[in-house]
Amino acid sequence: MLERAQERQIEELHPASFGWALQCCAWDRQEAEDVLQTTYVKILDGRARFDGRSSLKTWLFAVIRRTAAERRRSRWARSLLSLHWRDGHPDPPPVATPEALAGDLETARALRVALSLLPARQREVLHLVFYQDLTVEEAAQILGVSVGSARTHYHRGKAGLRQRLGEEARP
Amino acid sequence: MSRPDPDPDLARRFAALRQQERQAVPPFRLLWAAAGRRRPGAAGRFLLLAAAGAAVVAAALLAAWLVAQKVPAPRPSPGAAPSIVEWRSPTDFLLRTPGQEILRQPPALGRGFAIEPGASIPSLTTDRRSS
Repeated sequence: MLERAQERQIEELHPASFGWALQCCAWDRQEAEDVLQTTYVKILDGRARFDGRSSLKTWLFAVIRRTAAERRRSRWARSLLSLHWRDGHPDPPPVATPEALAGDLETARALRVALSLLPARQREVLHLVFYQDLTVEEAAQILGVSVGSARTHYHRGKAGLRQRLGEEARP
Repeated sequence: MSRPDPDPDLARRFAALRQQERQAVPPFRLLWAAAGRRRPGAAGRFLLLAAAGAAVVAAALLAAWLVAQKVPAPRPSPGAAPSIVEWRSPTDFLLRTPGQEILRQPPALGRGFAIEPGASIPSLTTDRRSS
């Protein structure tokens, strides 16, 4: 049974969790809500259990990421069976297009566009470090990679992001 | 280690993104309650277990029925084919060597083996030493 204190902690982490879910779902709001809700279902029925080996935030973010990946995989499997696939036009990857993001605030929009062009691992590490204020070690724990690998993704991602933001700023 | 190197510009941009996204976060209570409703209750879990148990029992019964229905392999009737002991090869005669009867008899003194065709075998009682 979930303790009340743990539920309160999850509630406090809810805005950050939603931000992370948004990132994991390439800023698809509806999908992010579904992922977060499925994560909460897993926690409530005990399929995801916090064992105290890491911080609650690290554990929760790893569950969210895994849930998003599971949903992506099942969507991909469904797309294999659909007529869309048989016609030779598979579903586009779940990355928000620059056009879809055009209505947002300029700074945030530019950052999201630039982030969406980065490889997934680099995007994830940058989000965890800059958006969620986590350390590279914590990011590595969430992503299930070594610290060295996370650090490499961090540096490459940052260089790629700077380059893309610079290109965007140019007239 | 917190961050390998600080980057105020990126930090500012991410802060703007965070601020914007935090304004549209769905209420926690809403998602939590919906998750609680989606969670299979005790009755649901019992039904799930019962269905799994029924499937296992059905599979076991089917397997038992199949084993019981299995027809034994037909045994050959005794007269249908000769046994391996009785069987003789059709080319068996080729293995018989000429003069086999001589080979079967033990040699005896006073008896020659160079027998002309048609000649009778000399008597074993003939003593050549007496002549």
